[in-house]
Amino acid sequence: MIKLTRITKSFGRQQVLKGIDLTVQKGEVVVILGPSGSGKTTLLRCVNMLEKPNDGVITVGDYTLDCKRAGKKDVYRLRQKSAMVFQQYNLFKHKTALENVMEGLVVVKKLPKEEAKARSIAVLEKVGLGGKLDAYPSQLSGGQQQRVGIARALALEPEVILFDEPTSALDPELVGEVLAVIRKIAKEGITMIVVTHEMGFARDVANHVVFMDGGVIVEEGKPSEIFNHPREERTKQFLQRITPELNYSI
Amino acid sequence: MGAPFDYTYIFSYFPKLLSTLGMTLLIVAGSLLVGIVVSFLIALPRLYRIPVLNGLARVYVSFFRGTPILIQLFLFYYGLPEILKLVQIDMSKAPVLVFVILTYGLHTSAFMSETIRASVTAVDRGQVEAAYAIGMKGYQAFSRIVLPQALAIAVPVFSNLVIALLKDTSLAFTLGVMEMTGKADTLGALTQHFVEAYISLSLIYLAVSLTLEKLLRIAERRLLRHELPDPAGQRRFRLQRKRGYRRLIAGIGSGKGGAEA
Repeated sequence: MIKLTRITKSFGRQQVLKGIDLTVQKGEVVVILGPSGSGKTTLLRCVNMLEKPNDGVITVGDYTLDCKRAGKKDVYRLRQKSAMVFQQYNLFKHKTALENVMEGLVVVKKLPKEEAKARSIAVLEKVGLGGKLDAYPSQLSGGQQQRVGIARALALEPEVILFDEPTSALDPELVGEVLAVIRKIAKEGITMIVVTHEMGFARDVANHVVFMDGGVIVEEGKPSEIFNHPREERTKQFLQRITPELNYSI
Repeated sequence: MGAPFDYTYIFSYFPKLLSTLGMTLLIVAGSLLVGIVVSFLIALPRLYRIPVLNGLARVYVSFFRGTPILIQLFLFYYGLPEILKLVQIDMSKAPVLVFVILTYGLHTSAFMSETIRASVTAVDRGQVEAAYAIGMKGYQAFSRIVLPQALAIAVPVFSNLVIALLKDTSLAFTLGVMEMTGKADTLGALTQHFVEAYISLSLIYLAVSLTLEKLLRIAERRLLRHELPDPAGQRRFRLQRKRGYRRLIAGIGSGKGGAEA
């Protein structure tokens, strides 16, 4: 279970997160929606302390951390509970697909090499890249790179995988293969927090949708409620502007 | 100057000059060793913006980049013993070679530290974030992820530095070290065939430079093997294809200086 309590974060004078409370149950897929600048990516990056909140409490699995008093060691312990998939993939450029996935298992989890290798190959096969083990990121398409990114996260068997706009940097024709992989692992009951602009995906896969704007959670609930009967005016506006059906019916 | 030109001397000088090549290479190797160690010590405070040390490193780099190597040699050879005398250390028996290697080492470290700084800065910030996100500690992320990529970016510039260092060592003869240039000078004076001696000398320097360049090119290939195989369809211009160059150009002089870890 992931629990965020009263998370605040400022960059300079600008307060980006204004006291966020969020609970994610085990096995749940939570999608965070919102206009750009609403703080959704910052919130996601707070869960693994890539951004340090100014205040608040973060619980991931059995580990709780008070942001104000967290030292380096606490941050490392918290980070081991989660894994992240980045918008720009951020695969280690000097390592092959297999080495990318193995890296965390060997260096962080201290698994023996053989075991790490076997597990990594299994995970890469799961994301459909069993034939690309020795390819460097520069030899892979965007969609393939992102699937390696997902494999790298998955192999660590974290409490939660954080997805930061995983398909935003992809060519439209490659979005499908990445979403398919995310769907597949969502079905396996892996806890996920996903920041995305893919409304169709949010509607299908999410158990819980959070709509953020201006550094606060405006509204949250089941996808059917949020998409079909949004309560807040701000949510309605946002959905009208972003839902494709409405965009195309001129 | 001297005796009439006779090309046979060029060949007869080769073995004599080559006998001192070892000394030249020793100076190069020793200085590189000193240079690499010191350059990291200089680059790290600048990368991590450690107060005070950062400023000192900056002054250090300015001094060694801003003054001629010949003057630095003289300053170290004549000045350092005087300063050390004040703290009761006697340097009068130390071999000249120590001063030479120290000076060249410190000199080259100033340039290398800037190369390291630019290269580390040129590694994408996302690489470090990905390393942190899988739970790596700061030093693991630096040594396993950032450094290998930074080295690959640094090699072309590093290779220039090594060759510049090789040629700079020719000034060591001013302090009386019998390396190749000193030997050529002596041979010329003995036989009065100066030009032949210098031609022979130039050819050897050229051959050594080219060899070093080749070796470092191989090292670069190895370090950049993850970027080399370009599908035939997307061949770009040579310079553009070398992402190292592009990133280095992007990194140099941007004034950003350093990871904000």
